Amino acid sequence: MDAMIEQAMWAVGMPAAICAGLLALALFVPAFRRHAVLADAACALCLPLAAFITFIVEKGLPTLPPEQKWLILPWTFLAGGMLGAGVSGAFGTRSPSVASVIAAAIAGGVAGWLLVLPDLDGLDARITLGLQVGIGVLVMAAIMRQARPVLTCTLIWGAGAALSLTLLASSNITLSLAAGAISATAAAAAILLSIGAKSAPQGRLGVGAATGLACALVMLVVIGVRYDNSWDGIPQWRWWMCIAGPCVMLILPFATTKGRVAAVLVGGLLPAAVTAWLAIEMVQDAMDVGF
Amino acid sequence: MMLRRTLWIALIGACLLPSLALATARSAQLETWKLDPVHCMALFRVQHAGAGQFWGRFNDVTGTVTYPRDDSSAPEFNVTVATKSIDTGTAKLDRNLQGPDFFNAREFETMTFKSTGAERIGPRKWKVKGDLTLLGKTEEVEAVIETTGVIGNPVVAKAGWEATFSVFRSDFGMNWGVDNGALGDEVRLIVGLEGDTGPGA
Repeated sequence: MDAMIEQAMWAVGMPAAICAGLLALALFVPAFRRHAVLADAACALCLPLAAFITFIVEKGLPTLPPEQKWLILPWTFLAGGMLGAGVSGAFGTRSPSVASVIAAAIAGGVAGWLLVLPDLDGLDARITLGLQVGIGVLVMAAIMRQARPVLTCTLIWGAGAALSLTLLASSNITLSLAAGAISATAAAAAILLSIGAKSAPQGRLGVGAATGLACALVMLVVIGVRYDNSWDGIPQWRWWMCIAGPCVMLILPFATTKGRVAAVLVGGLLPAAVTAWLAIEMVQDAMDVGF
Repeated sequence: MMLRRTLWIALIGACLLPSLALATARSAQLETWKLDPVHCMALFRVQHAGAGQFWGRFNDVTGTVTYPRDDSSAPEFNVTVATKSIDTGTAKLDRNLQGPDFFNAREFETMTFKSTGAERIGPRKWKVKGDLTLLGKTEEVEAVIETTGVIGNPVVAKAGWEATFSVFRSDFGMNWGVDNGALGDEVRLIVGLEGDTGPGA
């Protein structure tokens, strides 16, 4: 088997299969479904866990403190996921606004205070990082409160795919695979939720899932920007577009019957166009390197 | 006339003697040779996809060598290679190799070699042990190093060396593609060095 396909199967397919399996347990097994918090905690853990497993497959079990600064990333995935699960356990479905502010403050504070990355020595850079993570948690929590789980998972599927392409274009192979694992797990979750719509939980995913996901996606962007090795450097706004672009899909549930066609065009085609644009512009260059 | 010639010979001899003495002293004395980056390079070879041997080079090699011209003691190397100077002939591939999965040039701008000991294996040929630091990890490596030439005068001179050795990149934490055979683990290196000594060096 071609080495690259084998690598993709082990580093993306295997983590996605494990984590989607765990997610399916939490979502559909009656013993777990009774506890609404479990679905949220499972979502908080499973998507970042997929990326963590990718790192184990690619780089072995990461050490702490890491041998290279960027290898702190798998630990931030795990920490974000555990924080998310903790928030789910502590708040459940109560006071989502308070829960999201507390989760954002903890995640942003810890990221800005503890993370040691290149060019992150100044106080302003650390505050910026903290704010990026904190705002990411708040925005993701707001999205999850509005959208049904299947839509949220579809959105993450798109965001992860776009991010994976961008990371590949910036010569970050392992990071690209990690984003791919998140995307594939979210895709599996979206499909599972669509197939088992009747037996799936009808509530929204909560702050816990938002925290785990936001930490993973924002940290992938932050580290991707810092280790960008592309020809001219990918502008920062294009990195953030990977996450923001698919969020346009959120307008779909609000569309009236009359405006549905327009909403589908904007909400469905725009993210697809963004992803295709990223793919055409970047992957061509990234794949043409011989490895 | 005879006396005059003898006087001239004596005078020339008197002038040359210190130079000869200096040359003799220089040949046995340890000198520091500053590496000339223009004429230094590090070539590497690694197996790609379990098939062909793939070659690349680092263009920015600097440092010093301490060595006596008469080869009476082992050369001591202190060599620094800029990781960003990797050159495979394909710019896009260079970018990948500078990235965090390989040389991580963003965090580790250089890799270094410092000799720690040597054993003579022939005339102007040494088995040199040293510490190779790559990606923040230091491992002992053993290189066969040959002095390829020494030329110059007692004041200004050039010397060259060629080192060959192999490392396993996974020892330094660079393990991308090792398990699935996409890229070999063992990397063979040939390092060509040229150094200058004297007032200008």
